[in-house]
Amino acid sequence: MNQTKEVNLLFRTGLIAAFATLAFVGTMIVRIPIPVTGGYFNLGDTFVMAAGLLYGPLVGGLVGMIGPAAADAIGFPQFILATAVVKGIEGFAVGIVGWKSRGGSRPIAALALGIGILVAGYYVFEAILYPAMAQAVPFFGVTDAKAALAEIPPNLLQGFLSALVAYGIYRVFHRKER
Amino acid sequence: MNWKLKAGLLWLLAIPAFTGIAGHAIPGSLLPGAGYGWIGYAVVVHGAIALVLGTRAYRLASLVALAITLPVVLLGAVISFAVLFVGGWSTVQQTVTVAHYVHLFLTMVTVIPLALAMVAVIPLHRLEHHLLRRPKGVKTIEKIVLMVLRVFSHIVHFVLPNIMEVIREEGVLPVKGGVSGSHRGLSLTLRQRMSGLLSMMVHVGVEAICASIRYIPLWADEISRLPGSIESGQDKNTAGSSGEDQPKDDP
Repeated sequence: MNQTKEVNLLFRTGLIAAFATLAFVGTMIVRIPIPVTGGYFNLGDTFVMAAGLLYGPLVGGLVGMIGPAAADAIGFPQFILATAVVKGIEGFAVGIVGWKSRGGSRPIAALALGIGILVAGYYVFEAILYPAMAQAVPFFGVTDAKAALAEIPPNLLQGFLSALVAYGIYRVFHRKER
Repeated sequence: MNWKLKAGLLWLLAIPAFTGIAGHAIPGSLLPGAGYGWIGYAVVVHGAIALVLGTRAYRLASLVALAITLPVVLLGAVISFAVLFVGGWSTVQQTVTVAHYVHLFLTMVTVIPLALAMVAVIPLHRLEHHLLRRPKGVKTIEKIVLMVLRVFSHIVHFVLPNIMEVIREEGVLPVKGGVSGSHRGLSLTLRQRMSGLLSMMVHVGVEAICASIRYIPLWADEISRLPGSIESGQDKNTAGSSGEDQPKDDP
């Protein structure tokens, strides 16, 4: 590998490590429990969405997969799989739609898509996939369709607040670029 | 005991928690939600952490665990009981709820110090120095590990303490003897408060991102200049540094 390629690879790695650590901290510090599912509300998504908007789908996707899932390992290990998949897709999708856009409505559309993926993704995992997986591995038997439905409003609020802050961060960096 | 042995012991201890074996190891329970299996497991885990990390670091890990656990458990219990209160009390529901939160408390005060200890036991700086001084050069994958270690250490040791200072300066946390944000905001409307809170979160987020990524281009350039691995023939692509010419100072 020549040096320019290696510098680029290391630069991206550094960005992913930085945003993943920040997403981990964001997820760890603000933890408001959701009694029905035993899960919790947090603001780690801010850094996942910001990573996607500022540095593209690859960085956003990997940040989403690593940071919040690592935070789930501390206290809520059942949710690691759902978090890694849902937030990975969320960061990737936000990056695909919103990256390199020069302002306008694309970043807002990207964040709205991110919220949609967050809410729908957790619902699919908790209502369908986890109950099915729990039949083979009891470890995943933490939710059911009713509990997943009850988690939609807090997930929506979490996604909305995170998106608001991520958009604010994006605007600051976008202004600096100009 | 060397760090690899300590890490191995802690990883081994983590298996019962993550597989759920801990709860079924010993039948019976002291309280609803607090089975003898989990209590015994918690005692063993805390003993092992104190042994591996030393009492001072153990106390710190336990304090961090309590600081994270108590708001989650207490707030969760309050919300749950409020929901139960609105929907009509039922003794069975109350018992189930109490058992849920007792179990959650026990799980979190066991798993959080264990996870912190699993990370704390790895000597990041020694690992970094070890990678920098390899006589056969540094492979690309090792350079990636070096970058991750450097970014992680930088955020934990420099960025987060500074961010706490930014939050304190913004007046979000009450300052002893001074005017706190909550006092200043008594006459503000809810909308103004929410707007202020969001602005503060954006400000803190921007500060955190800027401080975290500031040195990444410099580190990427510096680490890429390390001599490549002899086996993979990478050293011919590096910018003039040799195996003996190791960087003496951290950036």
